[in-house]
Amino acid sequence: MLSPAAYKAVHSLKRRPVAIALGVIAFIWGIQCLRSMGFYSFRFMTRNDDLIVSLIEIVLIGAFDFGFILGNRLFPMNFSMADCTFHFAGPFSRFKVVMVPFGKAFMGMMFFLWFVACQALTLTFMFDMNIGDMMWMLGLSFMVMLLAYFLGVVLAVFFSEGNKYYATSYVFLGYHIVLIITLLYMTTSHFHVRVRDLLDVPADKLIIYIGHAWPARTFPFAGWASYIYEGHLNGNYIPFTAGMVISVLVIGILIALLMFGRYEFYDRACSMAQRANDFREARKAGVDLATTSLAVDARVGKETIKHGWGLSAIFHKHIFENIRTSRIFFVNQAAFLFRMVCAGLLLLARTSDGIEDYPHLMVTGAVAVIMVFNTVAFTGGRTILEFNRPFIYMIPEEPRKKLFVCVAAEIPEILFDSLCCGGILYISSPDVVTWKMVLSFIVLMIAFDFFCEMLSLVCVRLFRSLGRYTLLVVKYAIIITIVSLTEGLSQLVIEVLQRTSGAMLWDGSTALGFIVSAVAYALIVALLLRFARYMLERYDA
Amino acid sequence: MLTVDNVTKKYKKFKAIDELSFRLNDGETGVLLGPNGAGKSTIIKCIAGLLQFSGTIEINGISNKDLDAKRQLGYVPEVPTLYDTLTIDEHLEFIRRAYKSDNKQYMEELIERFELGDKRRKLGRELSKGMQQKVSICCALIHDPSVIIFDEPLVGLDPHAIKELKSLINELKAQGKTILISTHMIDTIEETWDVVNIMMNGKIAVTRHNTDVMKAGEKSLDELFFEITEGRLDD
Repeated sequence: MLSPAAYKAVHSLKRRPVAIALGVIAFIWGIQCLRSMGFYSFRFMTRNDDLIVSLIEIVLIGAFDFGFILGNRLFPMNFSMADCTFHFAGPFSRFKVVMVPFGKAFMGMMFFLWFVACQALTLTFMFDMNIGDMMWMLGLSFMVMLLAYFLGVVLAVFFSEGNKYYATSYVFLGYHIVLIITLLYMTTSHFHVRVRDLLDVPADKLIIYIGHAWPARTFPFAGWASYIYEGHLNGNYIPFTAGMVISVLVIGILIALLMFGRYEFYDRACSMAQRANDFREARKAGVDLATTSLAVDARVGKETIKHGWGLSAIFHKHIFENIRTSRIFFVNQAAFLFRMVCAGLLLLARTSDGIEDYPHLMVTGAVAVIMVFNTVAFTGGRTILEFNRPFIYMIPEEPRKKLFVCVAAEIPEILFDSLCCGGILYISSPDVVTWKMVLSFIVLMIAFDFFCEMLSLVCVRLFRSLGRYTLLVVKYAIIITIVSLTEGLSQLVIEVLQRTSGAMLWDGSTALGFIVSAVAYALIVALLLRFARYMLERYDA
Repeated sequence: MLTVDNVTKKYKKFKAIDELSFRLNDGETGVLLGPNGAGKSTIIKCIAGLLQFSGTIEINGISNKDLDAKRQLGYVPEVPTLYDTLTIDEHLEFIRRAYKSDNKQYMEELIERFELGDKRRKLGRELSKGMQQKVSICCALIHDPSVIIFDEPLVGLDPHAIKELKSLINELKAQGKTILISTHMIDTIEETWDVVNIMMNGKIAVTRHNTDVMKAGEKSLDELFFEITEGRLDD
């Protein structure tokens, strides 16, 4: 007879044939990738055991982090409201309750292994890795992920109260920051180079050094696990046996702690389940994570609501919510992260071989990446969330004024975002980006951010009955269409001007293109504002 | 005073509310009863100005779409939807400011009355359903409205809060406020109701006044409700 958890899992899976089919296809694909390792003789470099050990070491660190996040951060979120009711109150031991979300975590671990397996051919070509190395790497990764997962779960359940819970995350984050800084310092000192020149060091030397450096080798579980493989390679079974024994011992201790320890995490599981539920509900209503408060943590500090009267209370509340959730003044945490990722991606792209020959391409790429990020960041803002709650409708003010203050509350953030975008554009290709282009791009981004915000509000109000996915498709289809039309319009204006007034320099025409697009978006925003106001007055809340 | 006159609310072809009319005078407590899907929450949302409708709804003689009417209206929704990132204190402060209400003293009274004092610095999302309901009630009352509508106000409340809410409703009634309550929990409103409207399929099937019932020694609300909803009454 199946256990209740297995029964639930089997019956849930039965209703997801597409997921099963995709899983089977992914599994076959993963196996095929592993099998293909022996098919080709081409190699970029000859085999070096030190390099393989280092590579495995780095992958194991990734596996540890992934497992830990699964256990510490995602574990409480993987309880559903029904789990909270039926499992916590049901005739199950606490350990069994703790194991309820393990199924989802296990799927996550399988995904990690599958992803690593899919890189098999690349690893063979690049580093001459063989199937044996790969199997060891996958096996050790699974073991490390299990250890990290249970460590994360133990910390999550034993420190489930507010501040203590966050403290574990901060320790984890702090440890990684220290690790990265130490490794950077050691590596630059070892190779006598500056940080920016690190990528000039041959990749194999860099990997070998990092993988064998003491901060990596002493990394919890991952560092120790790589000794197991090293022992196996060198025929030295002392580290091999020691590593195995330690791993089994640790996992045993963690499970024993979960089985017999005193802990209480019902409140956190419920609050996370509620949050996940809210998240789903918000998505159904068309509010798609990104910059909404649902996506970030809020903690009460010393800040107080002391501004605003009547309409301006709404404005100040928006700013207050941003201060509370991000703690970087009015800047939304999620949007700020998006900017960082965007800048990181472009900096990374700049290091690609040969890209310096195509600086204009970098600018075009930067504009595209920034705009794509902004369509996500600004189509789920606070204004949309605000109009999904009854308070705003009850406040005795004119709908158009309420809409105006909500939109106005986004201005500081949009201004900050646009400045960031201008900076990102500059760093994408400092040789060809002029101040004219940066300024016009800032203007463009202000108009574009407002456009995303207003279009999303109108779409949510107009198409929410279509359901979440159709709403998303419709929304992005409209965005893509309008962006293409605006792009076409600015090209046309530039061409007409060039024909009438003669050729323009590249930076001048690009800046003009940005301004023409900005004007077009501003006009669309004005239309959308009018439409949104009409809808708020005439449509159901 | 609350007047609902000939209100119809359609969802495509389906009439959730069908030419509904009723009136509540100052100091009267009206109750909307009815099975699930009868249209109670829909009419309440129409009164609160959340849904568009045809017909007329007036708060003290002013159309409910007018801002003056909104100032005189308090609404406790069926499902409390608080801001995730604001504490109890901040919710009340925000609503007080948005409604331009100077009466901070009343805010403190409500917090004390509903035993929210020790949770003042808890975020909206950290509160239990009952606590959220309490905050929702406080938010609806903080600007001292003259017409208050409660959609299932007792769901999730603890016995003390139920007792407090009942006594608060009686106090509001004594102050001449108009109160409209939608509920399934018939026994909880036995002591407070003046007029009951039993709804079926978007219409009012029966209206009864407490005084008439008392005089005529009619059936209890419970009995009346089941007779209507189970189709045993030819009224």
